[in-house]
Amino acid sequence: MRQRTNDSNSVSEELSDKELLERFRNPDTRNYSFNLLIRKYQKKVYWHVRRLVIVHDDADDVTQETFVKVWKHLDSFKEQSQLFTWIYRIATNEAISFLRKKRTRFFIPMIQVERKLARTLKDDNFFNGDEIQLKLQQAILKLPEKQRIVFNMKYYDELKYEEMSEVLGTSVGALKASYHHAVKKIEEHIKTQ
Amino acid sequence: METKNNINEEAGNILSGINKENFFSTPKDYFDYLPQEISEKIHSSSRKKPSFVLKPSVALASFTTLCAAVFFLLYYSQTSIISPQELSLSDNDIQLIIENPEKYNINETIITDQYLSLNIQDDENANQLTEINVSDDEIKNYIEDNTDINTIINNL
Repeated sequence: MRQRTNDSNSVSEELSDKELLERFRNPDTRNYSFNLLIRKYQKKVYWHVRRLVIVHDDADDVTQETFVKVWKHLDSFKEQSQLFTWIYRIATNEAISFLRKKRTRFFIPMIQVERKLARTLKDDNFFNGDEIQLKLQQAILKLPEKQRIVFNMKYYDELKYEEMSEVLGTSVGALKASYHHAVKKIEEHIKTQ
Repeated sequence: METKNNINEEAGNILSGINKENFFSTPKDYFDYLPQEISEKIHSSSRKKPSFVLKPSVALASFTTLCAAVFFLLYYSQTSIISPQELSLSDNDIQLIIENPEKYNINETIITDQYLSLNIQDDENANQLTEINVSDDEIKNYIEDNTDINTIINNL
């Protein structure tokens, strides 16, 4: 039977990453602390993934896989970066892998995966945007993969370029250029539609 | 330090005018149940028994050994011959074999070769045959007694 515990949400938000890690390394509190970690970051991870893969069921799968990998590798996390940056990187890689598998499974180019997603968005029960929102999402889906990720992280998640650089392993200058080009392409697409 | 105003300026005029509200949605109470689903997934994957994995070097060695064993078995089964001295068969056994060759799958070539290679002593009579001396008169008398002269003339 599934349990719904809203109290854990408030507890997890109060605990710092350092405290969560310490409790995770203690075998007695490992499971509980990981549950708190999930509740702390699940929404950020999910929405980041959802904007990349679009479909809820796919985002659900990728999000779950992300946290499974976090569980497996959290012991080896060396704290050289922030915990969320590390989790974010895993989520991004999982989403990219998922989209590439989708392409190879159906033998279609990556760009056509995004075009297919753009077409299905209109009839998606879990998308409630108006016409301009639909155009915006379709424009984002037309961007190259890396540019799309950069745009989402900057525009929607409002990450700093330095944080994005840690996640993607790309220089700040390259990220700024990538975001600038993405914005231009999106605006051009919206104007012409 | 970046502010939201800077981000909007960077985003361009058109994007700045678009509502950034999240228009994607999830099933009801999705995030309430997600942690438990993840926990179940983690613990079910840890319960899976590791499948037996054979190291490539061990597999190769096993395969080579198996091939060698099969080869030797096949080779020796074709070339193994039981010599007549090793094979103890009674006269009845031999008679049965001769009368029912299909039942015993006798390879006559092998038997013949083996027989010839054994240098078995000839029959005593065969030796005696070389020692018999017959005179010309005895041959002449035999012919006269056992032939018809008219038959000979007719055949000529």
